[in-house]
Parts: sequence; structure tokens; C-alpha cells
Amino acid sequence: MNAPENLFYTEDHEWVRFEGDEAFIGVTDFAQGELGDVVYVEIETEGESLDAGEVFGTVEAVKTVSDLFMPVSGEVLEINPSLEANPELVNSDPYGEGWMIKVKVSDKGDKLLSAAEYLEVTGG
Amino acid sequence: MANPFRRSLLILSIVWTVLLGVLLLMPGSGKNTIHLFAGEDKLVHGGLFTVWITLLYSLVIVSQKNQYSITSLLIVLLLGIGTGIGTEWLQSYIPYRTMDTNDFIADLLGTIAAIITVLSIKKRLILVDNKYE
Repeated sequence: MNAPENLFYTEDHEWVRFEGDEAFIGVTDFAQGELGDVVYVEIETEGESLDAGEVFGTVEAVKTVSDLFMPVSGEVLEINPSLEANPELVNSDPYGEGWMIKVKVSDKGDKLLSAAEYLEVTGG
Repeated sequence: MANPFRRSLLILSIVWTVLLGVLLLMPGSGKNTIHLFAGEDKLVHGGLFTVWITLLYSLVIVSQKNQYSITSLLIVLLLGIGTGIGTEWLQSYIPYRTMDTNDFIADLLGTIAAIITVLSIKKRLILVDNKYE
């Protein structure tokens, strides 16, 4: 399973890439594999400030639907505009073009995992 | 079935199936019954099928691994139609019960209403089911 070392992860299978006081967030390669073919990503929290652990959207796949949880606290600045027309990017490039939201981080919290710790969680 | 949400749906489905069978296939009393309003029995037919198919289709949606399965939808629809026809046909052999096409139409409308209901809430159903995984 793929888990780049420059990212941080959560036990809910989201990843975070920090860039200054902002961060990009998406779901992991493991998550997209469990979900199957993603058909719709619904995020209606742009502009909202959310705490870590709160739901910021849902991802709908052929097999199931899953809530998306904030890995850090912060304001949702942007939603990946490409996902509306191409939700399959979550499957094909989960750590790149398949990112979901950009947030202004207010608190990183203390529950983020390193790549090695996340791989232990997934048994990868 | 460890998931309590699915187990609840399964138990309710079984209870409602038994209730449906008893109410639709028990012999009539042979006495004149008082109706609150015209078409009351059609409302009962439609209501029974709406709840029954809603429970069954919800159970199918959260249990299967393809929420877009047309096969599942068709099976549930055919189950509603088949049961509607079957119970009406059986009623022609039950004392003081008669076969009534309008009852079947009420059953069919109940089935369709249930399918539309479940399709409109299926995302919520799956998210609730996820919480018990």
C-alpha cells in the first residue's frame, strides 16, 4: 500500500499535506481501495471553520458512502474543483490530483500519524 | 449478523412480513364492518406494502456491496408485485375475502412509494450503517 512519507495521516484514512499554515487534505490509497470506484464527492463546508474529527463532506462510491472527517481544525478555504467533473481522480491519484479540500489550519491536534504509524494501522 | 442496525432491519422485516401475511390472508368475519372513510382498506394495503418494501429494500441496500444494483431494485419490485398478486389470488379461496384488483393497485403503489423513499434516503442509510461497522 502506498503512503508517502511527507504526509500525515489519520485513523479515519485521511491524509494531510502541510504548506505553511495551510494544508491539503484527501483520502488515502487504502481508503480509495476500500471504497471502490468513487462516483461523487459532496463537500458543502467551504468557508466553514471545523474542529478536528468533524465531518466536512461525504464520498460516494459504487460500493458504499462514507463521511469525510477533518484531520485538523481549521477553515475550509477551497474544494478541489476537478472532483465535480472527475471524482475518479480520488481513485487514480489520491495523494495528488485527487486532493479534496485546502484548509487554513488553526490547530494540528495531536492525533496525526506518520506514514510508518499509518501503515501499522492498515497492516500495510 | 453483528451489525445492530442491520439486525434491527432484519427483525423488523421478519415481523412485518408475518403481520402482512396474517392481515392479508386471515379469513373475513362475514359481518358488515364499519369504515372510517371510503377507501380505508386501500390505504391499509398501500401502507402495509410501503413499510414492508421500505424495510426489505433498506436491508438490501446496506447489506450489498453495490448500492446501484438494478438487479436488487428489480427483485424488490417483483417481490412487491408478486406478493400483491399472490395474496389477492389466495383471498379468492379464503372465506369472506374476495380478490380485488384495486387492492393490488394499492399494493403496487405502496411498493413504488417504498422504492422511491429508499432510493432518496439510501445515502443516509449507508452512513448510519457505517457507524455500526
